[in-house]
Amino acid sequence: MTLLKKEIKYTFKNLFIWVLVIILFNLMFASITDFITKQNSPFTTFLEKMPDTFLKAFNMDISIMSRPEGLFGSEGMTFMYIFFGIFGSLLASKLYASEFDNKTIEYLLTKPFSRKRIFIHKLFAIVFDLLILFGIFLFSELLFFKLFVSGQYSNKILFAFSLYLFVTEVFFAFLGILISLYIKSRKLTNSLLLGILFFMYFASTVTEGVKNTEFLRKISIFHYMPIIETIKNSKVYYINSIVILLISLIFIVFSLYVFQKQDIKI
Amino acid sequence: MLFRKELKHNIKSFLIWFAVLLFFSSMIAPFVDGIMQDADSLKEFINSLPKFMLKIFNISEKFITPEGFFSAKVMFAAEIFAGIFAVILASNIFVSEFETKTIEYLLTKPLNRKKIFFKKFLALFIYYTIFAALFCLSVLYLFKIYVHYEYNPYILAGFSLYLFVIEIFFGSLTILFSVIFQKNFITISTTMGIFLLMFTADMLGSAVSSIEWIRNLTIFKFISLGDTVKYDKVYILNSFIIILLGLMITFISEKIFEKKDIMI
Repeated sequence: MTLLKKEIKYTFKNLFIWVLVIILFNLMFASITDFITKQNSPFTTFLEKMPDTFLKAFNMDISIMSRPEGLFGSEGMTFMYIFFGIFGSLLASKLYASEFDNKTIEYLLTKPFSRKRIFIHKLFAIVFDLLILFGIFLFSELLFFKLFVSGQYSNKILFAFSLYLFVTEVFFAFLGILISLYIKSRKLTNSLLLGILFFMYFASTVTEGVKNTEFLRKISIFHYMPIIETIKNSKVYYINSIVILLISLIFIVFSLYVFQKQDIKI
Repeated sequence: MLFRKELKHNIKSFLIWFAVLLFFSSMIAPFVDGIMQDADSLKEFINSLPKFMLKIFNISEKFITPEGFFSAKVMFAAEIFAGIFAVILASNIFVSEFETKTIEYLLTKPLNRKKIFFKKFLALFIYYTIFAALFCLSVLYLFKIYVHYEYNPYILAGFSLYLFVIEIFFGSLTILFSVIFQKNFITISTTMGIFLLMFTADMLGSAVSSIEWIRNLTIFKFISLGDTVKYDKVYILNSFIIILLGLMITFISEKIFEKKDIMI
């Protein structure tokens, strides 16, 4: 319990900053959604006349442009995917890789806890932070939409956005734990994780409309949590989300095995 | 010695980041050529619209150019990428010394604090410059090979300048928070939070005229990709001023670094 409390305490200030930024972000988006959706109605007429190839190339879908969730999904979620991925990555490297970097792992392993227990306490601290950020995002998103958005929107779609962000942060945090245990350097772990994050993000968005890049989109987790399809078909991709979470759990099981077996070289 | 050590220790991170950006830029250049094949129909359509409509939607024929498509397809993401790269690299070079406690050892070296600070900053500055320069050269080269339509290389070079401006500005903010907080995670979190809010504020301020003032609080208004394409103009003076602002923040950080006690 002491270890868990210590980890939560050490990451609290950071969590607070991220929570504050997420709340401000949701507030900014929700408060101007009405203005933009009204402005968008003549714009939608304009888009309808555009050649199909252009709309596809720039990932625009006319049917979602005039909906309140459409604005948040097409613009806001771009940032949120990246920032939740970064949060998960940084959290994992902070709690795992930095113990090696700072050489505090030696001290930690002299404590009367098994390696499994140390690993799980740290994992709980990460999951706690991820859940808090997810909860705050969902709560502030629903609250600000209720307060500021007069047009019709679906709470189910808003929940889907939060779920996808939770899946993203879990995936990168758990992958981050695995990479931390192998690389043991916080600098390199961060760079590698964020490199993977951007690779996946670019693969699913920037290559849209580019020929022969289908395989790149398929190896990106973002491809399986498509925002436009979620809004258009009012469908939450639960199965895909669960599968990504299960893959993340495999990372964790493997990481636990590595942590228990590996010799600590300082 | 310290300068070379910083360059050597961060080369792997730099290569990872640059490889990702280069890979996607290389995929987009052929795409730009492909999409330009259909551009005439869109130009005709835009020209057929009443002038007031073009004004309302801030649309000009200039967007139907290779650099216009590149700005819409790649630069939006490249700016976010460059901002985050700048923050991570600056935190690697500065705040990591506090976190790993190697700052104590470093301060025992026969170098004064000012020298240590500026050697580190020079290593960072060189990485930022190489990143922007390689991006510029590779984009110009890829365009030359793949894009068979007329484009303005000056605008493409301008995009790279903007990436450099973003790197310097957010890098210097990271240095400032590094010497203040002396902790990695909180430094990165604070700078990234500012980056996210500035980027979003600029985007939303551009879309809604009643809150356009909010753009004045961000650097992105002054190096606007949309205006650069629309008016065929690279905002060199604005870029220069933002770089100077970044250097001023760095100078203040150095003063703090000289005076502040190291919290171990």
